[in-house]
Amino acid sequence: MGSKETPDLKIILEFGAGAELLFGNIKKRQLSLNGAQKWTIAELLKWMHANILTERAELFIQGDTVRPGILVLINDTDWELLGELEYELQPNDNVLFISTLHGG
Amino acid sequence: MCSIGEDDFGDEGATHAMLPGSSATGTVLSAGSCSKCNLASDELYKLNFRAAECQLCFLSYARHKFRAALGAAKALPRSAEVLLLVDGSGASLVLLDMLHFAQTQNTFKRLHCNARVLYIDACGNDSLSSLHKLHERYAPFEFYVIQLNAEPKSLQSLKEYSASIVNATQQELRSLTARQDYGLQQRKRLIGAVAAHLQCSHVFESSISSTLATQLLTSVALGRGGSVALDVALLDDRLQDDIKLLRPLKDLNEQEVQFYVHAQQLQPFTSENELDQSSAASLQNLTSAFVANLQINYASTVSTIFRTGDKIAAKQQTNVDPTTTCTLCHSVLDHQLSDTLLAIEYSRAVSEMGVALQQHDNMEALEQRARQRLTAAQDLCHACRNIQAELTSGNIP
Amino acid sequence: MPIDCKAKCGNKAALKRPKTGDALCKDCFFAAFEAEIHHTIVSSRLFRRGEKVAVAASGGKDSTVLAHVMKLLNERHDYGLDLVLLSIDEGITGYRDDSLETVKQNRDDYQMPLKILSYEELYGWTMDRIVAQIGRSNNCTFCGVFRRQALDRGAKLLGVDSIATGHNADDIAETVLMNILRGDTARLRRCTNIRTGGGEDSIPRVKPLKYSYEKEIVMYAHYKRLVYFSTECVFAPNAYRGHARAFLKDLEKVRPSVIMDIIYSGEQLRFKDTAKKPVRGICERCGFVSSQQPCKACVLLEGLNRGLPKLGIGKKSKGDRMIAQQNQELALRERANLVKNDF
Repeated sequence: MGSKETPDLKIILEFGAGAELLFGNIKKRQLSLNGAQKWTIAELLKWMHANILTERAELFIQGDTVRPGILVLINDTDWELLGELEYELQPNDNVLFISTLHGG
Repeated sequence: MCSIGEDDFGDEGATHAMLPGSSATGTVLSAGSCSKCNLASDELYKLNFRAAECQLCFLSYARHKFRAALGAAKALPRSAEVLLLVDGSGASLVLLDMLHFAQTQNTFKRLHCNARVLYIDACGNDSLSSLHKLHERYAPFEFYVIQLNAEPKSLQSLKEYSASIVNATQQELRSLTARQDYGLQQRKRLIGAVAAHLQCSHVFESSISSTLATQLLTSVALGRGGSVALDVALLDDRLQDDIKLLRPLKDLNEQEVQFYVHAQQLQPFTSENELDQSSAASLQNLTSAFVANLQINYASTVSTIFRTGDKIAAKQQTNVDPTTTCTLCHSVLDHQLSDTLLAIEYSRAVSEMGVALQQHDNMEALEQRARQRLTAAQDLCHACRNIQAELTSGNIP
Repeated sequence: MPIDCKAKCGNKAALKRPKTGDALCKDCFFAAFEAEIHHTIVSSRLFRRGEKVAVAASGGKDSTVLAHVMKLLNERHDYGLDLVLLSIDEGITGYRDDSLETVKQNRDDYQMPLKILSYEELYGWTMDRIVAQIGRSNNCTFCGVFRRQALDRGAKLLGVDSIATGHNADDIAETVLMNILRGDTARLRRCTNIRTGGGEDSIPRVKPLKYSYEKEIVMYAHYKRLVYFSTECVFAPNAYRGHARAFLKDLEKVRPSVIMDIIYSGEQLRFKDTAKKPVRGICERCGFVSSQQPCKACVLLEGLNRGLPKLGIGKKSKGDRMIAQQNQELALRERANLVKNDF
């Protein structure tokens, strides 16, 4: 709900390889986050936990980060190269969560 | 997709799967009669897998495990000079008490050795008063204290000891995993040096089955598979000057230690050894937490891990040439080129090439580069090379 | 802020490689990932020119990437291999039927022949029916034992020289941990081997992805837009391998090289002579490799057919008693029938 001075921060969330099952089985969604505040991945995760992580949260969140074994890509780049939790989201960022925990 | 490989099943099907079951920490029951000696007792001790027994029967059972460990392997020659490590943990006090008891027996049952106690002071002196009390209780033993990272010759007897500031240059290591692993090696080195200084031929350490289960998994995770047998065996001969490290409590479990502490009214003053046990993540801390969790939910798995360790054989040193052991941990080095370690170095080599591989994919030249890197630091084992790689500057001394 | 590709190609890095910590761009990553598998195949001499190789295909990430890379390397480096896909249909509705569609996609994409063998045709039982009879405990024992043999049977049917499976580095490290947790020294001895089996009477299995991290396999599939199937089996119990898996992933987060270190540790372990050694033989009933007489698959099948599904679960002596008891009951009933017929 940003005012005219602070437009919403629009980003895209995507889920793959089974991670979507924890988010109402929706593979892709657009988010409009409050543009008045700074959004890091850490804050995004808290928001996801509170708003869209519908079931078995422990399969996605561990402590204050994602459970090891879930890959995070920001604009198709490994979040490990971008500061992980500290990365600050930019307008139109695409954040993708891929589970590797769903066997093979 | 199914993540259960067909390799999981064979001869025994899934009977190997972990069985849920808690390790009831056990209870010291109220009065009753001992199932062993039939005498009435105020307090009965009920171990898992054992009938309730009186204090005396329990104590002799536990003490027998200690004697049996030493006796079966003939690990301790008569009149050996022993250095006993006390770290304030329940297990270390049990070891001290058992040794004291064994030495105060009548001549027939007496354990013949000369022991003195070493306490390694890592964090100041808030344990000193506990140590003094301990010394009063076990007066026949001489007590020594040394600060971690100090010179071996700065060893003092407890009576004269006062902590001083040690300004040994601490190695800077990037990760907690490497710091803890290096710390452990340094500690062993110090123990070996003190033992040599006091002319001890044997060192007693108080690891019990659950600590050794943790040690086994930790060593495997650190890449110490080649030397893990000695990390969990009764006898570890990697200390300097042919000094032998013995673990006479290896067959005791946590419950037995708890009961013994209760029976003898021992007063542990640190729960764990002085390694950095902060909540920060390291391979060591994660492994301890994992085993502690197993202990609560799958207790029998912990003893299975420990028994796995018993089946692992130590590598035999082919000759006594000292260049065949790691300069840091003194484990026998593996001189055969490992495909797995080569794969790591090969990976580095191809990462440096990237798309250029498509023009000239010269596998042999790349493999040559990988081999050279692999054989560069030949005096260290793979796990100690991992420590070396995390040093911010300089070399492992 | 973005990091440059380690290969100095001028691009920005797209991922951090867990094995070494090197950061690479997509194209350099593809080249390096493929070159490593090529190196593994060549240096471990997994195949010989002219051989026919079955890629065990489940439709999941590992076998999908394996099929893709095998096809690519076979052409790029002229291995001269005849590659086929081999899938096992366990007969699990809502799971395997869907994943087999993915395998058929692989068949079309890579133009590799596909053979699907079903439990139904091999054993006369689908997993759906087995679960209906035995319930949800031990079902993975049946499935695992049957699948192991089914792959052997399929390979024999296809006349292949070896079976390539999609086991990756994480799987192998996890298996090392699992075998320590359950004290299985026989399996600890061989679980790190890149090649298993392959005596006179068994078809060898090889693991070309032994040194490939799961993370890289998933990233490779993602960047290459390979389609794979990633649904949990409807019958899988929640936590069979879960503990070792979660533990390993926690370790990997702290020190990614731990996967290779555990594999290395597993390879370095030596065992006392008293520790159990694997004995390989041939099942007298079905003729497939087994260390028991009769083999586990035959015992489980007999249990299903006799209506004694617990037969193969647990100790052999217990199973023998169950059979004896049933035979006795049958004999009694038979006699009762005879008596009745006297009138």
